[in-house]
Amino acid sequence: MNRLAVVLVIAAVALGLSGCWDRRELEEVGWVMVLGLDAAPERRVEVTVVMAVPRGLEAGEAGGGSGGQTFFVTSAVGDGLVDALNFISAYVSRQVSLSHAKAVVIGEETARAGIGTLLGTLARERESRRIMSVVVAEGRAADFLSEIDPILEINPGVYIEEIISSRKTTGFYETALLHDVLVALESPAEDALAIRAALGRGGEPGRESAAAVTAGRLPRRGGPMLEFAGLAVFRGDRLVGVLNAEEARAVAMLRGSFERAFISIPGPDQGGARIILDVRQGSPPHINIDLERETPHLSINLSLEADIVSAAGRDQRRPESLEALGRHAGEVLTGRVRDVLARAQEEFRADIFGFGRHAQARFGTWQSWLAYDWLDRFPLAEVEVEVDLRLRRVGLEFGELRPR
Amino acid sequence: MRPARGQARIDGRQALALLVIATAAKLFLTFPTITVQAAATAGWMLVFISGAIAGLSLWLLVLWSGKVDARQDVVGVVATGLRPALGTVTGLALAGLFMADLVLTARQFAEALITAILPETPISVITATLFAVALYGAYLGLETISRTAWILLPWIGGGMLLGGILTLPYSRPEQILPLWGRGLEVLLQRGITGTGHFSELLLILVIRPYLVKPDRAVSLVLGALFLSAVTMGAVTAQLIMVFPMPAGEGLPFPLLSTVRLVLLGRFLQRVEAAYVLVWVISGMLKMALVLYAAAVLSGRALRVPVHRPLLFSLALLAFSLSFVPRSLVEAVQWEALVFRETVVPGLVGLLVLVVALAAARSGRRGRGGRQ
Repeated sequence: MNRLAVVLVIAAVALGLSGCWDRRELEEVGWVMVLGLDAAPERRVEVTVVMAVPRGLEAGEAGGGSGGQTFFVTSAVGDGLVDALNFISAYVSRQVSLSHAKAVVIGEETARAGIGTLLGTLARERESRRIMSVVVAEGRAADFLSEIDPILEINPGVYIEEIISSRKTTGFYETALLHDVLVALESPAEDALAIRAALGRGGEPGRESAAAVTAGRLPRRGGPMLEFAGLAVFRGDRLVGVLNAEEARAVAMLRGSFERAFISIPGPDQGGARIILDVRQGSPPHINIDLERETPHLSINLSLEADIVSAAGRDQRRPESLEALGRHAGEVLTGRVRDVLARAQEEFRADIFGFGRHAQARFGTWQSWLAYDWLDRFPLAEVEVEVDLRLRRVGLEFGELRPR
Repeated sequence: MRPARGQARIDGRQALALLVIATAAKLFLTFPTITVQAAATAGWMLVFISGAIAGLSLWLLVLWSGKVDARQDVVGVVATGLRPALGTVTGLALAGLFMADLVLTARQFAEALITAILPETPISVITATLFAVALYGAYLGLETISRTAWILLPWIGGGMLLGGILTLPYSRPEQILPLWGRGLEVLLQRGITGTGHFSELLLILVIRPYLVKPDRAVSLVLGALFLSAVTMGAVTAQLIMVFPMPAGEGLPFPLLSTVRLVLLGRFLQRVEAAYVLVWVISGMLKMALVLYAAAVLSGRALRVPVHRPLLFSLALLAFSLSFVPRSLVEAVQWEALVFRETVVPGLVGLLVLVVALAAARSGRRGRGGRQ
């Protein structure tokens, strides 16, 4: 009997712990789905939140219209992130929570000034999670987020989540979780990347391939305003440049994180039609680093596999023609990868590929690795790269349709 | 003290579970970060070096105390082998060590709970709850604690293993290099001082009389050391692969930070709620055990016939002392630099000396008796 009493007392105290002080009813919490950060005058920060309207989400209605509103966007200026969120809590009737935030969007000017302090606050904040994606928007994050208008989704968080996960099939950007960015910002072995976004204004297809465009310039009409394509490149914690969607694929190939994309290349014949391939990473990139020379020397072999989606009248009934086409595609992709490497070394001077992580394995101690100063040496490195592309399948037709 | 008829008896498996949980519970606190701060990318190796050196001390301690009397605890061994007064001093010194462990563990677990899930709850309420459970466990005794440990070991181990597997997508094996971290010299130096991280295994000197087979205490403690070191080394290695240097140096609760990364689709994330359960259970088991050990040793040293009346006063003392560190940072500093890396290695060194003398004198008396 005594034991039962003790167990009951302990259970009551344990249950009371969460019930008395940390009790937060769902109706008392305002869930932020997407967070926006812009610098404000006098070293303050403007925080924009896309907040879910649970009643609207329950009703399952699409956004827009006062009755069926599933989210709203609001901004506040504070001395810091949490300070601004406090202001928002003061007028939205609920305590703002970041625990369900899917992405943090940073305005371009803010990113150019440095994101270390802002993201450092997010890393320390108990409710934010390192699995949210980091996006750099053209212009101000507040302007970008005020145009959020998911059409197919009712939940803006799911909308952002679905767009970002589409990289698995488009390859238009890299995974850029807050965790990845925070690790890279401190690392002596790599520089950080974020997803590039902008409000769509329409544009022309890229010259080399239609995907050689960045967010805001996608060749399209209609649909939601927000576009996500390309990568924001950081050196240290400052934004130093932008890569287009086609270049983002090359970056992913070099980082070993490329999953799959429909890639278009010019045909082997001068002025011929384009060839479209469904490309996958065959095996992880083979990276050999020689640090004995005066400047580092990198030898990289990329192994890709592809299926033919469209081959513009070319016949693939013979293995030789398939191999020749594979060789041609490999050469084209080698050129694209070299171009990206050149931009990273000469224009950005940033190791966005994480080659430094392979280089650090060559050192015996942490001090000798730090003394080598990889990030300063990377721009001078000699890099040899070779893409080996094997065509595996041709779809349900050996050849193209040949109308009479 | 030889156990009287009808007193607690625990088998080897239960004792193993008890020792491993008590030793490895610090993984849920700042321990992995401390090793990374000490040895950088070789933090995982530091665990094995400290473990090997600690294993040597433990082997000698258990072997030599067994030569005096395998059915006695450390107080009895020293009192029998040398003088009763030295037994009292040894008992009080070890009781102090376990009390310090209890105080620092309670404070850090309370801080961890506030940081992770209960930010609004007063620390006094959380600490009081932890102590209430530990006190009840210690009151019920060694059999209850050890059987609970044996039952929960698969859940705690499984939870940690699952956490490791689910965060594999973030692991980059090359980040565990450079192999020697801050250098071989630092590894050896911090490896010696780091033996204090295995101080919970000294509990074998208290629970030995209650083992079903006390003569197998050496293999038991070395087995517990091996399992603890492998667990602690593997978790530290996983931490370095997920949070590489220098990011891994700055996490107060690295395992919590690691598990918060779990993201397997929209429906499998935020698993830390389940993980906190594993974490709190480990902490409470460890607190119950060290409180029990402190009470038994104090009782034996002060010649109190039963230890139970001491439990409440010791728990109250530890509860009060747990508020002495002014912040989490101070508590971590005291634990890592003062307690684990200075006090414990020094005390263990003295203990090895005392037990060696006791074994030597006991051996001479034995030979003299035979002659």
